[in-house]
Amino acid sequence: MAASFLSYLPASQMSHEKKSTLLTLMILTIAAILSFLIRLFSVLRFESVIHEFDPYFNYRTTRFLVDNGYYDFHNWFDDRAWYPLGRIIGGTIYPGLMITSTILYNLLHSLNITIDIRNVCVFLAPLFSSLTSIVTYHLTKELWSTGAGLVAASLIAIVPGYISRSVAGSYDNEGIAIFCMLLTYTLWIKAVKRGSVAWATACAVAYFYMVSSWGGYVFLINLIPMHVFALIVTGRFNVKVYVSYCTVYCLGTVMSMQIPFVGFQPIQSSEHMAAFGVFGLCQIVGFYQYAASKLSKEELNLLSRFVISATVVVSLVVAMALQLSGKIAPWTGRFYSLLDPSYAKNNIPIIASVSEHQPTAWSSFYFDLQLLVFMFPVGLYHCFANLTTENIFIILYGVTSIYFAGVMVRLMLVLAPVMCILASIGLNKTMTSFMKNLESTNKETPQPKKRADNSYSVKNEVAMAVVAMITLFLTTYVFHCTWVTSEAYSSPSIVLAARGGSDGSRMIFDDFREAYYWMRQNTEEDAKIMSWWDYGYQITAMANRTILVDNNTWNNTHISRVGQAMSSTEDKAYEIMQELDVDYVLVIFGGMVGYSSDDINKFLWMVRIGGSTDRGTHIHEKDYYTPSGEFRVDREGSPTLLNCLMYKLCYYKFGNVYTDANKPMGYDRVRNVEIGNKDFELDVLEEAYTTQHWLVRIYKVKPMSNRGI
Amino acid sequence: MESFYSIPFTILEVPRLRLKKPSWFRMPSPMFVFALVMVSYFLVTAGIIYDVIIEPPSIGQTTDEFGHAKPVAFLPYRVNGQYIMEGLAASFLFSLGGMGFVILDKTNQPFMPRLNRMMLLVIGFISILLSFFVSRLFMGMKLPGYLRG
Repeated sequence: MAASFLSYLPASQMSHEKKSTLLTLMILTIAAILSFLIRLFSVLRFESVIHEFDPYFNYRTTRFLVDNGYYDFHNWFDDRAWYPLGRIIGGTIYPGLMITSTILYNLLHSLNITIDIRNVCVFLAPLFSSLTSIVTYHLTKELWSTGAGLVAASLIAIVPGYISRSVAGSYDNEGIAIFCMLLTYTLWIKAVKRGSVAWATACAVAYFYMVSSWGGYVFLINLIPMHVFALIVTGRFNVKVYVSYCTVYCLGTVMSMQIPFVGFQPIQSSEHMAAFGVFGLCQIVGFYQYAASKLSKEELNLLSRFVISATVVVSLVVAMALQLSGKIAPWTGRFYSLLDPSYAKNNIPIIASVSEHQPTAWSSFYFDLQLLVFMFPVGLYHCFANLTTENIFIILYGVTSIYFAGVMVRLMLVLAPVMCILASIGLNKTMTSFMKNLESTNKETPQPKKRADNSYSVKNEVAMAVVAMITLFLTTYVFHCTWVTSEAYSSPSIVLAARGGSDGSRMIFDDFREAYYWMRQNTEEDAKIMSWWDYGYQITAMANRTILVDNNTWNNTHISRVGQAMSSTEDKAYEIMQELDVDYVLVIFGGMVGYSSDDINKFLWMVRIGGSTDRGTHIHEKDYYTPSGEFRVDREGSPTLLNCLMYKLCYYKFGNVYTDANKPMGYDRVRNVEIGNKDFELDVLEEAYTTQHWLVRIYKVKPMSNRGI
Repeated sequence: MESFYSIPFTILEVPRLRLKKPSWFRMPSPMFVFALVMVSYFLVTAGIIYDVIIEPPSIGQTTDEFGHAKPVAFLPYRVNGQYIMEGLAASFLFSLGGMGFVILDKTNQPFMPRLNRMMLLVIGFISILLSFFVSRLFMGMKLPGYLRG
């Protein structure tokens, strides 16, 4: 009956090829729309606002680019951050994100669709995630088949590992970098399969776009040479690979050096040396294969001996000279900590303190990927069973990104696309091999009376069970992804929401923006604000005031100076504040409402970083603990802690308020204790502003007294 | 041209070395490399790097109302935190689920004895279903509000 109904639809009159094209287009369109829609939770719940910390810097630079044009942007020296050092913004950012937004903005305005730049920034990441879905389809189609490509596009549309860094409002480099990365990989695979210079050039241009958008391009420039090296080792090196790699390496390196932030690193730093080494190796292997086809055996032996000895001697001399003269820089801290995870913990406290840089636990894998962690080995198995030039690439990508995602939780983002691709290969192979076993119910095809294989009598039932099971798994995947996106990854961080009050209704905490707008309207234009580096970008973008340290964290000594000021007593801190010309101090305090990411919880990092430079050697972390080694803010807390500047600024006049009817005055709702030092006055600072829920507290630094007492 | 390449060898004498590639050194088969990759996948998804850096205890402990120490299997309320045993258990399930699908793929070979095929099917289905549903259970034990909002 269903068959007769379907025969009335126009679709059933089409040829098989037209049907499959229609189906492909429909599935890709739905996947693209879905990936856009699932990222809109926070826009619907709150408003179209930029989230977190880093996106505010990108938003400010995009606004500057839109207002002032590219030349001023390229030469921009910002004197409102890192006072008194300033920051060369033009030379220390990856401009791809800002340029993409500006191009879109100008395009829309030229069509008289006047969307505000803030909305372009907020919705850019979901737009690029739709494009990522389509590019993943093309990549998987090149690697395996169209069916696997469609599964991959659908999986990556909603995978939480990618959504976490590309929700609407998260205006960060990763939003477009994943698209650029997958585009580069697609064009690389196309080039390697066809050996054409045109595709390789397109790959180099895509690589240039990738370099302009994210510092993680180092992963690409090491993965592609690793692929070529694996092909050489397994004996699959041929002229197509040679042509593709030489084109991509030469054009890609030259183009990548056009970005000011990258500069001459591709020919100087150790992270790029592997690509150069493989380039040389390609030439040698290619030449050897060419010579072997032309020369006789003795001549070939003589030539090889000469070339090998000459190369060894020359490369040893050159390597020693470069190493001794210091021209080749060693691996930088951020990337070195990927190879040796304990390096950051022991040597660079700033890198170790960021929560995204922690290693990954099993639950992060399951939370961000669910079904994909089961199908990843299946896809790998099928790739190993059918080794081809392109499968080796995806195997290498999968294995390296699993390791990197295990080292740093933030790199789960790089793992998510390859998990989708390999899982789609596994799912596609399993489904096709079992659907072949299903008996057709179409009455026109003749039923084979005899089964070819009498030992497999339940073939049909098993196939139906497998298909039903996979359908169930995919359905639960969708429910999981939607739940995770809605609960975990859609919070703007700058606006908090909670269920509270007498009727359990939703309360909104908009304290951050309240404080920044107060600062914008009530402080002098050239006021300098001291706060911990987390809030730097938000202060410059929203309050438009000069700050001492921000999230770029490029100058550890300067941050350490601020840490020393926060950890010292008021008079010692006053000397530091006079030295740095500070007018206002901003602290975040969560004890009134129970906001746990406040400055008291981050305080130990301020102590560690403050004590890590030579002017801070008088600061010892153990002074801030009780004799039994605990960090406490009540009466038993260490006196150094109870008298330091951060403690006083957070708990000023807090001893006079009730936070809970059953608890004494001055009860801190985050640490769950009554604070130890309640009645004190501030000597050198005065309170300027405290927001409605005491989340942000701003203090004005008093000028030095005239009489010098 | 050959006379140019042989110039260094008029001075240098090539030593008579009898170097042979050791016979036991063969290109590993793809399935051998796959087995190595599976072992590393098991270790990495168990959070072994987290264990080495953060050094959590093997299992946690709470005290109940009588003062007895009760063991706690899962570090609750934190997505990116674990005890060592829970990491190993979870990654065992992930690898088991993947291997279940591989076993299921092997059942489609023609001309297999009926007993072998039935056993492979049973093992394959049990591995897949067990690992999938127990992982959901583990996640629910770790995050008490999982899938409930």
